[in-house]
Amino acid sequence: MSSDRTFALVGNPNTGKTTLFNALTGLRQKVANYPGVTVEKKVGTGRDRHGAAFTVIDLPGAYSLDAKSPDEEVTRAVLRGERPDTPQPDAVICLVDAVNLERHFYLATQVMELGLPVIVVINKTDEAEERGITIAAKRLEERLGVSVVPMQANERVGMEALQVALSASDLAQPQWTAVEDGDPATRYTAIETLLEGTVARSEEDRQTPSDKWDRVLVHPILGWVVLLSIVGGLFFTLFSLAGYPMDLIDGTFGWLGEQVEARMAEGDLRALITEGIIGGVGGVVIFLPQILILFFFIGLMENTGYLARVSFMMDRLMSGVGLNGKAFVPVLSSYACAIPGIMATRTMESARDRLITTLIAPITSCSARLPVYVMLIALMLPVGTAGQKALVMIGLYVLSIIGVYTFAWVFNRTLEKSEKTLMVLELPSYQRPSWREITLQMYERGKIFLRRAGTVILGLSIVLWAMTTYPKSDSEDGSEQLAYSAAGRLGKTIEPVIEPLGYDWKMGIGLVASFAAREVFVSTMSIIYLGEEAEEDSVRDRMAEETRADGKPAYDVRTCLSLLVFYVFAMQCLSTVAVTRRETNSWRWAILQVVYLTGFAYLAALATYQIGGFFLS
Amino acid sequence: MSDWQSWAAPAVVIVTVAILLWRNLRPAKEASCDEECDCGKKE
Repeated sequence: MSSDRTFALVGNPNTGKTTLFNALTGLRQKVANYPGVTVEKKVGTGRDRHGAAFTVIDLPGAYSLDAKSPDEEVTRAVLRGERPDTPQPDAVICLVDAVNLERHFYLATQVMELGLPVIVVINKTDEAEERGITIAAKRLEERLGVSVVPMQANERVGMEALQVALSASDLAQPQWTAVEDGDPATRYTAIETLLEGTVARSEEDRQTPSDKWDRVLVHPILGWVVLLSIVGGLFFTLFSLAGYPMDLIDGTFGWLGEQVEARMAEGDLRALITEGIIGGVGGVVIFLPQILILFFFIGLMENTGYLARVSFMMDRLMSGVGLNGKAFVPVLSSYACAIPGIMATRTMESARDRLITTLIAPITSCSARLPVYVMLIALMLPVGTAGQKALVMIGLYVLSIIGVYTFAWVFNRTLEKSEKTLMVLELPSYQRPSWREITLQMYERGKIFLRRAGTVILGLSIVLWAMTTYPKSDSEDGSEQLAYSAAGRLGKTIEPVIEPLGYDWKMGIGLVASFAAREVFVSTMSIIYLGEEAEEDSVRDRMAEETRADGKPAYDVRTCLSLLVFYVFAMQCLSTVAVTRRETNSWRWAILQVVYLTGFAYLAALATYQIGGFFLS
Repeated sequence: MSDWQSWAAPAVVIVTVAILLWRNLRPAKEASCDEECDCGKKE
């Protein structure tokens, strides 16, 4: 498809840029309510009213062109035609928020000074109306000499007028006198003059429904009560509701194993398929329902606008450890996966804040930890209710939050200081959740989880099976064979180091194997315990029956707690190490991250087990 | 005990290790995105 013209889409974060981009190009994209979601460069094509194709470049959200963050740098460079990988746009679609017109014109006026034709889109006119703000778009159009289009991008209101503006053969240059003075106050004075008589505000103080909700949801005490209740509800659902589909998945993999056993003669390859592939992959895939429930809740909070409020509340805590609330977006993303979380640090202006956030991001309890947590909590509380299990889970998440804050504080005190940056956080209006968006997000996340299970976990499960099978001993006994194998020898070698933590050599195999990816701990347990005696028992039953030399259960409360604490802090993710190296452009920080997290995880697990000895038998 | 299985299983393991090494050591396709954990690429 040939493109006649290229438009750049520019605006502050959270102005509805992604929504407008989707409307113009028809490409599917994630719509988020918290700031800073547009990080990657996005390009799409659309057609104007004459059928001519045009290209749209969705540039990262920026508050100004005074490039502070890497994102803003990209926006400025593309608009100036300084990036070799992107052609300079022919015109700019500048998106401003009708509710905060003065502040959004800070960027818009800077864009107008670049000498490119501009179309100004005033978005969220419905919200402005709700707040009693009226904007005389025609008058503004006359003053600027360019098209000014009022819109409600999420409802496609004003799309027709924008299409007309895009289809004009000659796009106009704005009549705007450049503000030479670099002082923001001078620019704001010029903006005030520009907008004089174009924006009318109702005298009465209009309380929108969002304002009323916010009185409770961001309240210093009530806000936290609500947040904890929501998180508690999430984990309760995780344990109570996920059981049924998990049994179904477990049954399916069990049936699959039986089919292979019925059709193949006994031998190494059959063992590899049933114990290594079906056992290893099935052991992880069984947690798909939990992953889907987690992302349903995250999607719901994000989609309704509540997540931005959580960000706002966290800012108060973030500032206490020297970071601003912008760090919360990467930290929050890390709860899904540390990799996009670390990449989201690009929205932060200060290189020092970016580094600190990157270093602490892997402490957040990412979704890969979920299978490990669920398995160990079930072992620890075999007859516990869903509520009790949810409480332990909340405890683990709280522990990870404490870890994030503690290490942020430590790094803030030890790393060289730089200038403080201010955070601008907009709270979008609450909206009805889009079930389609939430389902789509759950589907995407489920797909990623299954893709990992079918690639990385599958590969590692096969390698682990080989390590537990070769070299072969003459003994027919499964335990003796495991002890004789390469994995068994490795576990026995590290046993003296992990013994003070309450772990035996079999757990040691799991720890070493899961260094590449945390979920591998679960599949390793499946291979080790089901491989020994492939009977009807589930892995959890086999683990619960496992005893130490003195006859006591191997997975008692102390050991399970120690393992849980280890997994809260340990790095155990090679992909994250690679991304840290890439984002910091140095092996030094990546190695420091592995060393400090693994070292602290060891000490924390050691303390848990040893102190636990005073209270638990 | 099938004899052919005793060499087929190690062969599968060797191929798997080769694929894992290739996946991890090949030059990254895209400098800004990791394929294991999605990072917002929807295009």
